[in-house]
Amino acid sequence: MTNALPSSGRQIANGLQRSFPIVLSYIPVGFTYGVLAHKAGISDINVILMSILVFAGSGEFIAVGMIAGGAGALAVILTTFIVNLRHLLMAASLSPWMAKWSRPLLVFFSADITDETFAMNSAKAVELNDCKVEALSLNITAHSSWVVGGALGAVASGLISDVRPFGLDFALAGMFIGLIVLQVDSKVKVITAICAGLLGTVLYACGLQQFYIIIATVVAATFGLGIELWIKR
Amino acid sequence: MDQTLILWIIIGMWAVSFLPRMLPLQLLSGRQLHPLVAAWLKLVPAAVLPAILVPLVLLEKGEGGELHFNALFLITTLICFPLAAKYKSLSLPVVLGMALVAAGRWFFPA
Repeated sequence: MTNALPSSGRQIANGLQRSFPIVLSYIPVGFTYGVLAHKAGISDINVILMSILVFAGSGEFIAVGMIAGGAGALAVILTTFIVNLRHLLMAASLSPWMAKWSRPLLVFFSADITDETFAMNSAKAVELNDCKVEALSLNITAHSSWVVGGALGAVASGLISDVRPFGLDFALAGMFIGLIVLQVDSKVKVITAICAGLLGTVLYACGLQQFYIIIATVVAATFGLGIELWIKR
Repeated sequence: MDQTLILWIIIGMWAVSFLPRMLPLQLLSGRQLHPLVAAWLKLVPAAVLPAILVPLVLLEKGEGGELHFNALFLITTLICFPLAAKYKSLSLPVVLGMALVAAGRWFFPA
C-alpha cells in the first residue's frame, strides 16, 4: 500500500477490467428487466430513467412486477425502500475504508452501490482510500452496462412475446448465484447464508412477501455473529 | 398506463434507494466502527443474497398469486452453483442458467 499509486489511466483500465464480470451479467439481466418493464406498459424513457436513477436489479424487477399488477405508488416506493435497505448495510461496511474521500465524491460513489459493485469494491476494500479512480471507473462501467442492457431490452420487447422460452426469467437468480459464490468464503458465512436462505423462504411462503428479505437478513446476520463469537470464545 | 405517475414512482424509488446508500458514507466515513458492528456488517452480504435467491428458485408464483414448487429453477441452480464456485464467475451462472432453463422448457413443456 505504501508503493507509488497507479496512474489514473492505469486505474481506469483496472476498473474496466474488474467490472467486466459484472457487465457480462448486467447486460442479460438488464435486458430482461427492460423486456419486462416494457411489457408492463412502462414507456422506454421511463424504463431507462429507472435504471439511471434507481440502479437496483432486484428492486427494479420487483417494482415492475408491482406496477404491472396495478399496485399503488406508495406501495411500490415503500417496497423498493425495504428491498434496497440492504445497501445501507453495505455502505456502512465500506465506510471505514473511505476516510480520504471528499464528501461530494462519496455522494457520487454511493449512488452506484449495488450488490455487485459492493462485492467487487469490498474485495479490495483496503485499497479504496488510494484507488478512487479505479473504484469510480468500476462503478460507472457497471452502471452504464445496466442502463444499456435495459434500453436494449425495452427496444427488443416488441419482438419477444414471452420471456420464458428464452430462460430470461432466470437471469436474476443466475446473477445472485455468482454473487453468493464470491461473498460466502468462510464457515460462519456459509452458516449465515443457509440460515438466511431457509428463513427467507419460510417467511416468503408464509406471505411476508414485502418484508422477508430484510427480516431474514437481520436475523441471519445476527445468528451468524453469535456463532462467530461462540467459536472464538 | 399513466407515464407521469410512473415518473413520480421512479423519483420516489430514487429517493428511497439513494438515501440509504448515501447517508452511512457521509456519517460514518473513516470512523472506526465498534468491532461487533463491523463483524455484523461483514455478514450482511452473506445473509441478504441467499434471502433473495432461495425463495426465488424454490417457489414460483402462479396466476392467482398462489405458490408452487419450482423444480426447473432448483435443478438449474444445483447445476450452476458448483460450476460458479469452481470458476469464481459472476456471468457463468447467468448465461448457463438461462440456457438450461430455456432447454428445460423446450424439452419438457409444461
